[in-house]
Amino acid sequence: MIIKGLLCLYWLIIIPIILGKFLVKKDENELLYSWIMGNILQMAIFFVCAIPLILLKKSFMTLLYIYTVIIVILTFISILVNRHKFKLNIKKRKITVFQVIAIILIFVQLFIKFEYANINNDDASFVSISTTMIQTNKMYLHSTTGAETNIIESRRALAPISAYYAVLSKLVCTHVTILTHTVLPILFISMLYGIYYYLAKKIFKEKDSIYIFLIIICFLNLFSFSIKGANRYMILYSWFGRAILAMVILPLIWKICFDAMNKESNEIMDWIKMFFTVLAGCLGTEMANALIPISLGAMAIVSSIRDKEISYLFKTLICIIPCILIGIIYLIIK
Amino acid sequence: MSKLIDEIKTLFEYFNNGDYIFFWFFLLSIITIFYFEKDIKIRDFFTWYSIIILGVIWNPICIWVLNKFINMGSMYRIYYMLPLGISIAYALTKIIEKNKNIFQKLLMVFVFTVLIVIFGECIFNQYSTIKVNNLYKLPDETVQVAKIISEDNETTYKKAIVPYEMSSHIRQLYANVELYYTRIISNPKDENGNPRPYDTDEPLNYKPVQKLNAGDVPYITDLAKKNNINYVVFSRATVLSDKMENYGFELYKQTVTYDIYRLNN
Repeated sequence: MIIKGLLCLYWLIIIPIILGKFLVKKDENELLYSWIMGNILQMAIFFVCAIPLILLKKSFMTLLYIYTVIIVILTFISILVNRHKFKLNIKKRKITVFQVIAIILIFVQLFIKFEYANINNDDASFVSISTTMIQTNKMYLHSTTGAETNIIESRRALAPISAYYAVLSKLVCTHVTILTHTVLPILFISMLYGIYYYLAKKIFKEKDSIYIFLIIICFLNLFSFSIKGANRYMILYSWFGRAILAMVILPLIWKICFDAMNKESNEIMDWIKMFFTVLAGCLGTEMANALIPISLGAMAIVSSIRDKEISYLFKTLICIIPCILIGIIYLIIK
Repeated sequence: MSKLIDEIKTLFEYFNNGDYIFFWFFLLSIITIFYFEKDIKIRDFFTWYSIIILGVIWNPICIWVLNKFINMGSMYRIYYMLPLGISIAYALTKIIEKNKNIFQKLLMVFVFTVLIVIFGECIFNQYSTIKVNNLYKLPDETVQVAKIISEDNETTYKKAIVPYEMSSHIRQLYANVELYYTRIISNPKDENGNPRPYDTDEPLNYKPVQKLNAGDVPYITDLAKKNNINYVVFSRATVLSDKMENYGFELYKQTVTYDIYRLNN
């Protein structure tokens, strides 16, 4: 149990923080943001590795080895290249009452997620596909009942989040069902509020307002919208690809848009971040191939008109190339 | 075109589940932000971006194109592109921000959050959230049944037909157990034996589920033999129409709620 806990700490916390340093700018060099961006980078790299191997019907272990080697190499490179970003920067900050309330509300959600179960029949595919991969060493070549087939189901294979969970499960030596139902919700919900925190920092000037915004977001996530709302999926079934797209990837894209589509701080790093976030989004659900281009396209149109800057549209087009490619592959093998 | 407009209406109703209060709050928020927000970048995001997205979501041509990639059953997720919660939270925070006194701010936060609680419904409730005694976070008895079948050393090939309520969970635990059906029942047939055009997740219309629930032993054992099923799990509350032993099965193990039968070799 302790070894598994340490492996989770290593693969799910430390490695993403180290990798995240590739994507954070000097003024963004915070532990939480590095961790968020590291997770995004890991998901993006996994997506790029997984798609060709799945389509070529390679074994699951091949994907596991290739991905692990790439991550390990990148981790070493990051330690060497980004070593100046690893300085601990502990500042004494005044803690406000709103900050305390927001943190308590987030921790209450994390505690409920850890302590209680939210069962959903959609896991008959999400999680079962992962356990099947580990058991059979084949990827997306079994139906959800376990019957072997020779045809790759395009809808699931082109958004290989189940393969990602299977790989993580092997890396942290934890059963994939325990990983998805107990460990990952803690991570994804933390990511969600982390991203909202950074989004709030972009749109509010007062510190109190950032935490008031988070408090209201917590209540809206817990009490609002219908049974089909993304907030419900995120809080109850955080490991679902659609929840990750709606509550992690899209808000992160909006946050990055504030930096990238901005005449004053228009840095190439923001667009690199955007590109990796789009790739990470494609991992979760096939719907990302439509929703991300529309969302990003809408942001680009609005910002281009406002700033009279047509380059936003070209850069956006480059960022959504993965979605277009996957969309084309989907239509071909559908 | 009228069919697509109907689909758009259906999607809107489906997404909101008949309760539009928070969607109206969202629309009210973006109108408020449009009129009162001074920062043009923030105003553009919350208003013009939302308007473009609404223009896509409520546009029959866009829905027709999106339907090439997304099936209608999942199309409601296009609403995820709207910054629904963020817009409401932003508008409310801006209202609270106008007070400089911390106690007034606290009072307003309290009032707004109480309103959210009153108008909404907690997503953690007795239907969505249960207490289990395993880290898999699946029903305890399902974990037991899956373990019993998976760890039976006397068989290597394992295929089971189980009550529908546990069919989604068994293979999350042990992938070496094949199932006759799981959550989505593939290629179901109607009451006349004709194939249905779509897969279904309406189990009660599916004959094997009905027969298993009804304890129709001749039907289930015949189905088992035709489909190489060597484990049959019945709820112990089900009254069986005949003894399974008469059809080549033995009672292998029991849990509190389930009987697990195994085909005799």
